[in-house]
Amino acid sequence: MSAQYLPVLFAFMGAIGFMAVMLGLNHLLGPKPKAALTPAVKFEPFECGVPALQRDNRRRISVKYYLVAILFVMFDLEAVLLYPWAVLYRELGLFGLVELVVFLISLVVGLIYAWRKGALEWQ
Amino acid sequence: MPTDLHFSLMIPELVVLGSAVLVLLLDAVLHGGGPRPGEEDPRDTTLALSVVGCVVAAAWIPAVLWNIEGPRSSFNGLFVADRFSLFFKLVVLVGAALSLLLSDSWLRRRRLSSGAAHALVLFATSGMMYMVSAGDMVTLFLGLEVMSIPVYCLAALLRWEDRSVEAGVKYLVLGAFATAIMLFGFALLYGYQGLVGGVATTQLEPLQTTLMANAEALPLYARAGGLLVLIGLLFKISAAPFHMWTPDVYEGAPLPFVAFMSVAVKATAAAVLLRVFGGPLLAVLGLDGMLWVVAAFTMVVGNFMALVQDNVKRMLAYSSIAHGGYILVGVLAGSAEAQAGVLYYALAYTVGNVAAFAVLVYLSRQGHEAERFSDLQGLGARHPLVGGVMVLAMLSLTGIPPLVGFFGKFVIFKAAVAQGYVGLTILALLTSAVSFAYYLRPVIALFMRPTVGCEVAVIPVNRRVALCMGLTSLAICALGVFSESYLGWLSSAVLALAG
Repeated sequence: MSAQYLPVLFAFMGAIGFMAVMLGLNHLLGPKPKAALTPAVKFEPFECGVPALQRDNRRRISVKYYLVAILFVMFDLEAVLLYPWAVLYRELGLFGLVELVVFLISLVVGLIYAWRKGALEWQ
Repeated sequence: MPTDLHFSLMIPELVVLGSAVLVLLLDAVLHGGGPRPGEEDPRDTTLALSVVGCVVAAAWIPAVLWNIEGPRSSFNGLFVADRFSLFFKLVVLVGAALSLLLSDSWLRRRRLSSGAAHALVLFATSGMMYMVSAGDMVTLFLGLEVMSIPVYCLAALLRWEDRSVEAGVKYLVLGAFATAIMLFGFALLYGYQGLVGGVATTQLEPLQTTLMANAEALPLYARAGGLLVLIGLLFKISAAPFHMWTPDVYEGAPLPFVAFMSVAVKATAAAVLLRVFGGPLLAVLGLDGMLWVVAAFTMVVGNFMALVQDNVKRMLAYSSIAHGGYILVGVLAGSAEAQAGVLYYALAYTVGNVAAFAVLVYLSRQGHEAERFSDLQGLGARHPLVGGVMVLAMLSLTGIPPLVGFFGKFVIFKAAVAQGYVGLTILALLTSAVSFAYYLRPVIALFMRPTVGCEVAVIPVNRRVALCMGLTSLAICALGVFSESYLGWLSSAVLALAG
């Protein structure tokens, strides 16, 4: 019964293995600057956002980011549904198309509402 | 392509959803970017659209009903449109339409954009309609979420007022917690059905059949699953000891939407309780003793705590807890009469409670919220008709014949005695007698106390709230007087639930 879930296990193992290999390779092959001789800026994250794990992470973040994040989730979900739909498009046929259009319309309504209410204005 | 699709059965839901989307779009197009001075006010449009949506949906319900040859369930049993669910849809739609009428003047006074509020009410209503029609745990859960999330938002509608935000956050956190508990119960029951019933399905009917067939040897986790689902529903119906959120939420939330959540959420929870635990299933799961205690505790806590409130909204919150207790007596009794009584009671409570809230909305004015008993003092002499509606509502909620509230209690208690719950019925009668004391207080404040303060503010006539008061008072009287004629219909609705 649980044999059908084996691919999930493989996917997990693959993900963990990939991470381990990449980090391990980086550790083995990557350059190791001597801490005393390198400027501090070399230890900061490069093009990866704000420094993580700093002492004081409780800074205020503008509420606008949350709005964008929520809108992002909406379209993220759309993408999540679009992929399996595209794979099964031929089998689902017209029914699947109608279902998807209804779903997309409901998202568009949300987008129109957010847009008209000024949620997309960044100021 | 799936074959078992009968969209005609859910036309009322689709109408409500469609009008919600239209209201949202209309509000965004006409009223985008917040209210601007001198712009056309879309309130009338969105209000008309939402009320018309509710009325059309309610008018379509008989059409679904008369199509008797057609199938009663759709989407492979996910959606059931029997007479039982259609009745509760009607109750929910009545509650929604009346509170929409109430909300208008209230929103106008606060210069709030109303489209969002109206759309939220409609979305919540559609969720409730799906919930009462759920033949499957998945539909039930989806409906629950579609109902709950807009209601949380409605509670926090006045987002610059601390009390309203407190109400919303409290409701959200506790509601999410209760939902999670219920979902855990669903998971256990689903596992049980898959292991013992042979077919892993989330549908309610096969699950109930499996539970009944194995009544002798139910494993502990199946009972625990039933218990968790029951607790989730008891939270929604605000039964003690899961009632703590109710007074705080009702006190902080906007007045017209308190009317909506008190009547519609409660009716929905009662419907789902009957659908999931109706009949002998409670005893099979060994939960009847627990529900006995909860019902007794709910009636005592609700009625006695209501005595000591000096805020009318809190008093009505505790009264709604007490009414939840009476509904639980009906659920516990479980016979067809008792279940018909619960249906009747849901309608009776809806009209009585909305009438009381309509009076409060009517008497509130700019900078003067009718919240405390002292706010009502002396207003009955100046507005005798409005005061009269309050008297009717309070008498109906107490259960004085020949008003509708009396027959609701009468049918439930009679059925409970017939099922042998004599002690519980005596307790219910005693606590109803207690309730008379606090239901009289707004009436005393309205008619027998002098006006406080010197301000003699004239309350402008509000046609929409007046219409709402007129309709509910008419219903309180007429439904009570003509109760015989449709009690039989309600019993047949319950029989439809049974088979």
